[in-house]
Amino acid sequence: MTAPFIAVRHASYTYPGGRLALHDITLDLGPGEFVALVGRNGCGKSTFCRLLNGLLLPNPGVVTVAGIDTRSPGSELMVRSAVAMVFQVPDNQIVATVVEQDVAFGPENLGLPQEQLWRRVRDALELVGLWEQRERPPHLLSEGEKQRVAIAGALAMQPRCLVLDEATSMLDPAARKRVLEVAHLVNSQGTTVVWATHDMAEARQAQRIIALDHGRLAYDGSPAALFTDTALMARLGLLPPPAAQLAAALAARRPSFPRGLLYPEQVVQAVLEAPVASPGPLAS
Amino acid sequence: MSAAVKAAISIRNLSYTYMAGTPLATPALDGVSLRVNAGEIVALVGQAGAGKTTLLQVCDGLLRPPATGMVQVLGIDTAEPQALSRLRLRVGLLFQRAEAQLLERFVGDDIAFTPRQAGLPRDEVRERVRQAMQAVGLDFEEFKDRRTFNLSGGEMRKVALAGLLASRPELVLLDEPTAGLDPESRTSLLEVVRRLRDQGATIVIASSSMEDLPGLADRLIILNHGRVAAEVPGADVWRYGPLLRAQGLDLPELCSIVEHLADRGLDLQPRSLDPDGIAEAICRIWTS
Amino acid sequence: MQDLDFLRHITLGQYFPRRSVVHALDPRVKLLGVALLAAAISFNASYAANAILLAACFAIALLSLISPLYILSGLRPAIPFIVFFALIQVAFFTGPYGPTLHPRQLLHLGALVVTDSGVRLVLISVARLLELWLLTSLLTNTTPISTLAGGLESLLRPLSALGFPSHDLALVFTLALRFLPVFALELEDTMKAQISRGVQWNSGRLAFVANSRRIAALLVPLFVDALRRAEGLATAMEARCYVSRRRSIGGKGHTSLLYLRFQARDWVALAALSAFAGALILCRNAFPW
Repeated sequence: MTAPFIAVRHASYTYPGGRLALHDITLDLGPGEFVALVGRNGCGKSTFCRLLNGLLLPNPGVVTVAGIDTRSPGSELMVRSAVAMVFQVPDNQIVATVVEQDVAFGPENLGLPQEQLWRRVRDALELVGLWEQRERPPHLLSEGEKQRVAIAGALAMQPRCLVLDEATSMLDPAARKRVLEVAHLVNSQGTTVVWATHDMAEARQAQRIIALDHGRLAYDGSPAALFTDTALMARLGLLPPPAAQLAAALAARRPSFPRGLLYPEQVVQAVLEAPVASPGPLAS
Repeated sequence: MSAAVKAAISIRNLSYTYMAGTPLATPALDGVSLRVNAGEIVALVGQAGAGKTTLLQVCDGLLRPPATGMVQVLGIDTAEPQALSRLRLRVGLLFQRAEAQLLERFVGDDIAFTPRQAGLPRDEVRERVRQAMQAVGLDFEEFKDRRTFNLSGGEMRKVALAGLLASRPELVLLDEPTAGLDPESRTSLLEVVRRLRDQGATIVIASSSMEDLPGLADRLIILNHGRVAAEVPGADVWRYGPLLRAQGLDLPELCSIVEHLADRGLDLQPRSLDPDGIAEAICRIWTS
Repeated sequence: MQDLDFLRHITLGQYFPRRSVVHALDPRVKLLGVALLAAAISFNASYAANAILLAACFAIALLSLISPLYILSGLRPAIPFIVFFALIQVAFFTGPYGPTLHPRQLLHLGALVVTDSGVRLVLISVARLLELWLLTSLLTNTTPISTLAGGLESLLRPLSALGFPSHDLALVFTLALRFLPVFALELEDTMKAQISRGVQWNSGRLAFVANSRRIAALLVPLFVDALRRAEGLATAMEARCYVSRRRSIGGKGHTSLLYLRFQARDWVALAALSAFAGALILCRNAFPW
């Protein structure tokens, strides 16, 4: 059993104004996992993300990253280079006026020697597919490209975990797909990915879904099991992805219809393979 | 469509270039011609940068068409100098960025802005504000004295929409209204759009995502690099998969399922493109 | 109603990539050069010196392969203001100015007195405006902001040993210019949105008084948005291990992607600019005209 990369123990968080955002969350995040984080607006997703890299400190509770307690003074550097974060608004993450200089921002703050800086910038930009754009000013890039620059900036820290806090909610579908591809690519190389989202079609691609409800941990398990639990989904204020909704509608009408389908291809296959009540004009 | 049906929007050969005549000129629209009939819901779809926002702003009268094109909105030629002020109360445009539209310090005042500006009596203004807030799901007492800049993103969007509704426009233009909203807010916003249509408004929605549109729009106009690439009926969008993909757009998930099944010989005739409608159509095939 | 896309047309802060000698210079030379020339400009109130300075600015623009007239066209929206204030100045200024120690009256209409020193004041002010506009535009037109910031920080580095936050200052400079186009577009967007809701903007150049109330309505959303962005940006920067100079990060300072080193041409350029500006400053009283 591998040791958890990030361990969250009874973590709670209250904002200075008195708003209780998270209550008694306990869970582990392992190396190489792809975890989706879901829940309605205001459920605590963003707050939870910020606990993972020490931007917010749990009170009470403990969050340890690779064994380091995020509350310990002087741990910020280690924690934030191990856990990198991408935020919702692309523009509000880009600091420099040239793409490559922005990607270098994080590593520069770590005091890395110049040669390493250039290598990290190059690797990160190539991974997100923007090496050709490295000398462009950010205001001439599309929203999707800007967000990939932000991701490159996070990857340049060579983190072991990448947290994306609703990183696609302001992007058009084509850009969303590209960002998701980058996340999967990074994950396939062993980086843990935490993907906070409203889009269940994105969330279903994760191996594990964590759902928050009013600051509490409401679900931690597989996407299929969550989407078939209609009562829980209603309580969370979520709708399953369209293919799963169709599968549920079919299963309601035909008890023999398989349950737990998530993807359109699966539903199409199941519909075609379903035994019919009486022979009909079905060509396959 | 008989010629007797009034055109809410009629555009012929519209081309628009930002900062024309300077080294930074950027073409946005190229020879666009289209027509939106009164009472329709039309969706403008296309990738980011296709020209959707520009087109909506032209229809709102904000951008003046150059001499080569003709744009008529609610019967008024937008090239006329007085067009903008004549259209103010009759056309409402919801901007992509809700914050850009909020003018007043308090929510109640902001929603009342356009009717007040038009000189309507105080009681009527108040009543309109109340109705508009109810339509978008904002509690009147709770929100009317809130400060506009202290609202969350979703709340701001609702206030901006209420402000638009308060002017009771005949033509409603929505620029990416569901972008960034969580599922609950999205559903309620689409409900507002449906109700608006039931009340007789003409609606144009610009969206880069195809989700939610098939069940809502009568027609989808596809823009690509500033040109009208195609027009597709909303009811059986799924038949146009190849065309949409050629324009860089993806069919919504349920429509792609219907399309795949049709390719394999199951010709569903779903009455509606939502899960229940499609499930029902599938069961009909199964039991036939 | 004019089209509202004029705000995209900002030459200040825009970088135009070219292969020119000026582009290739070290940013520190350019920063010091602008400072030296600005000093020369402020010390000289004679027509002759300003003609030389204006010619020099044009020459630098041409050396940068950028049209000086294009840069000056950015001033076009300000022309009504310039004319207005010029008229007021010339109508009432009667004291000595620059080489004109004994002003002569040229025109006298009641309270309005036009003197040759007044004319000088106006013409020199306009010349200075053009010179400074050209220089500051060229600075950003020929150097990416991040490079300029790096140069600024390098120049200020001796001070950071005394605790002066030169890195933070350079970052502030970069951020301000990085967000200039963002806010320009936002302002345009806000203007359009407000007009769309029925806000009256009077067109015509003299309507600025009536429009001033509406300007407040434009700037408040911009401020609020700027503050929100600042918050998001600060969080993102913190997440990327940015630490202000007041605290140390385990003893290690930050490094930089940019590598600035003076080359022969930089020394030559610096020497030439210093000589030119120095000569103009030292000889400022030598021009009778």
